[in-house]
Order: sequence, then structure tokens, then C-alpha cells
Amino acid sequence: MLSRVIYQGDHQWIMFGRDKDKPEKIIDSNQFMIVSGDEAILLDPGGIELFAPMLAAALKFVPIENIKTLFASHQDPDIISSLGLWDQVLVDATIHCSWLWDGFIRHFGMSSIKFEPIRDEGGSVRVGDVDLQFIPAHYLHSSGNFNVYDPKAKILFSGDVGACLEAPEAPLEVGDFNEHIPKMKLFHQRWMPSNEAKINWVRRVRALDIDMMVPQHGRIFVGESVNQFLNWFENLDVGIAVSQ
Amino acid sequence: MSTTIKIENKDGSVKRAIMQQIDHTKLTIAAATVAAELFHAEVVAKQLTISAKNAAAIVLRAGSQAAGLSVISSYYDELASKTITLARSINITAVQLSMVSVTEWRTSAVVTQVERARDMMDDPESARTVAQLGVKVEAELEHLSDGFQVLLKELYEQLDEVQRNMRAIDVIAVTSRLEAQQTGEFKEGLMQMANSIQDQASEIKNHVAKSVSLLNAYT
Repeated sequence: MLSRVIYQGDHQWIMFGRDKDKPEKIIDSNQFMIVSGDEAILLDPGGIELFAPMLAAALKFVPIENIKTLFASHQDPDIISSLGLWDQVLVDATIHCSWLWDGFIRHFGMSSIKFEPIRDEGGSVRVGDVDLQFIPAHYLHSSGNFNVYDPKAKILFSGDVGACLEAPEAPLEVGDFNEHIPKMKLFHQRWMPSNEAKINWVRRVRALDIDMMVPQHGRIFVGESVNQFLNWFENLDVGIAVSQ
Repeated sequence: MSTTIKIENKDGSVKRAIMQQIDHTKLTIAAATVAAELFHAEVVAKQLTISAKNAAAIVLRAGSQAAGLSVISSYYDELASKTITLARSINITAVQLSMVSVTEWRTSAVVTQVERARDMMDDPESARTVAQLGVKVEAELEHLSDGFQVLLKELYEQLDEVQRNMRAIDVIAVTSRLEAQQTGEFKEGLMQMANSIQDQASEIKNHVAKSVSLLNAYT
């Protein structure tokens, strides 16, 4: 599994993904870890099949006892079906996820990790010396869905927003935005159910100071491509399955 | 999860399953930590190749005064390059070991759950069917366990080879220092180089020793 430090300031953002050894029919996903001092948070730690390579990759950067916090943007298996395994290896850890999924993600197995529900309006968590904000992204695509914003690093972890499915050898960053559109279009039109939710999200995200937008699948958006994405997404008609 | 199972089932077989689960949790972390340790060892091994190349450059400048060191510096380079390859290979084996350990861990959880299901059944025919299922899953567990042992043996051998390389570098460093005495103005630089190479080898040895100790603790 590839691991790459994407932000290095007084804390670190590390991206994990592009796992060429993963089982063939499992979609590739990006996992992120934010490290500040002797604390680390895993954002969307991934599916059960990715647990071992993800654990090995994370331990290159921090000892296991420093991983105290997990965040699940929503309840899907590629996001958090590894929960039952993390539950066995982490000590005194907490998972932050929409209140909506409290009784659901426990089906993945959770006996020692503490569940901290995020209310619909959002919230925050402190990891080491960094304050992270949970930005509501409901219906994009899940009905209880959050992004994570780091105002210090100016990075938005956008979950499935901005996602696309890529081959393991694909570049990490979006280059030519127009060339990238076909890779994202159907994914957003089919997975995202609500134009109203989408416009509401774009309006709120535009108000944030963002240098990098990092989705849970595919390439990351840096600099101008963030705005290009917001403009494109704002005008995209989503929820197409019912109209076809 | 294991605590709940312990309360509900008190027969010997379930207790064994719980033990397996706990061991695999620790083993998975140990294997993942070994992968991380060898990742760091690889970084040091890369520094070691640079040191070996620097040593070769000084030897070249020293000419006939350091003739005895030219073979030695190429040994450094060769051992450091082998160590990089080995560290990468160990990293892959350790991740594979961690993956097999997770699969064993999950499969042993299935064994436990099948046993629970069997205990809950009143109908003997259904209980027999579930028991057969249990036998099948246990056979799978045994198969995984065999695969795990093969990988573990491979990992120990690879780690041992790195340690042998580092011990060889130690010996060569001692010889280098003796040879460096004859190199006049280049003596200081070559002595420093030998010390630095030995320090890097020692750092790699520490990463490997930690890995072996972790594996010994959980296997």
C-alpha cells in the first residue's frame, strides 16, 4: 500500500491507498491519518480486506498506542467494515460518526471502541494540538454523512465527494481538470441523490479556506482544481436513477 | 467480543478459540510492526549505500595509499544493496504474515460462532449439520496456520540474513580502520567513514533485533 505525506507542518497528513496487492474486485480507497504530537486519527480506515496492509502502513508513522481516534464519514463497508478488527487492536479509542449510524456500524463488531455520535449540525475533535471540524455533507451520498476540515492545514477530507475510481498506477493529484471530469461524472450523478443537498454543501464549502480537497477514492484536488471542482459539481444534475 | 463469548460459553473448546483470537490480535500488530521496522531499516540501508560510495570515493582519491581498502569499500556497497533488497522483501513477507494472521483471526472467530450456534440448537440433526460446518472451518483454520508457519519461517530466515550482513559489515569496519592507518592524510576521513558505516549497521541491527524479539514474543 502506498503511503504519502501530503501535508507537513506542525502536524502531518498522510494518505494511504493505491494498493496494488488488494483483492482484484475490491474498489481502491484512500485512507488518511492525521498525526499531531503523540496522537493520531484515522479518517475512513477502510474495509476489512485492507486492515492488515493499512495497519502495517500506519505503523510506519506512529506506534499503535498513538491511534486513539477513528472517524467514519458514513456507514459503508469500504469506509469502516474493518471496525471489528481495529476494535481488537486499539486501546482506549473513540470513533466519531454520524449519530444515525450508532446502531448500524456496531454490526461490524465494536466492543471496546467508544462511539461518539456527531450531531447533524456537525462538531469538532481535538487530536494532539489540532482542532478538526466535522462538516455536514448529508446525502452526499449517505443520509448521515460528514467531511473533515483542518483549518490549519487548509485540507478538506471530502469523503465520496470528488471521488472516482482509479487504477493503482494513476497519479495522486488531479492534473487537467477537464480530462478528469469523465472519471467522476457518473459516480456523482448516480451516488449523490439530492441536488438541494449538493448546492447547500457547495455554498458552505466555498466559505472555507481550502488548499487541498482529498476524497476517499481517486485523486486529490490541489489549488485551483478545488474551485474547478466546486463549479463543476454545482452545475451537475445528480440523482439521475429515478429520472431515467 | 471475546469477553462476551467467555461468559456465555464455559467449555474447553471455546476457551481455546478465545485464546487464538487474542494471540492473532497481537501477532497481527507484531507483523505490522516488523514491516514498519524494516521500512525504517531500509531507509538506513539507503544511507549506508551512500556512505559506501563516499568511502569508495575517498579510497579512489587516496590511490595506492589505500589500495587495500578498494575491495573493502565495494563489499560495503554490495552488502548495503543486498540489505535494501532484503528489507523490501521482509516488508512484503511481514505484510503477508499480518494478512494471514488477520484471516486466521477472522476464521477462528467463525469457529467460535459456529460452536455458539451448535450450543444453541435443540434439534440434534441441525446440530450435527452445524458441527460438520465447524469441522470444515477448523480444517481451513489448520490450513491457514500451516501457511502462517511457512511465512513465519521465511521471515525469520530473511531477518537472520540481514543480521549476518550487518555482522559482516562490523568485521569489515574493523579491518577498514586498520587499513586506514596506512593512508596518511586520508586516515581521518576513512576512520570517520568506517565509524559512520558501523553506526548505520548497528541501527539496522537494532531494527532487526526488535523485529525478532516481537515475533518471538507472540509465536
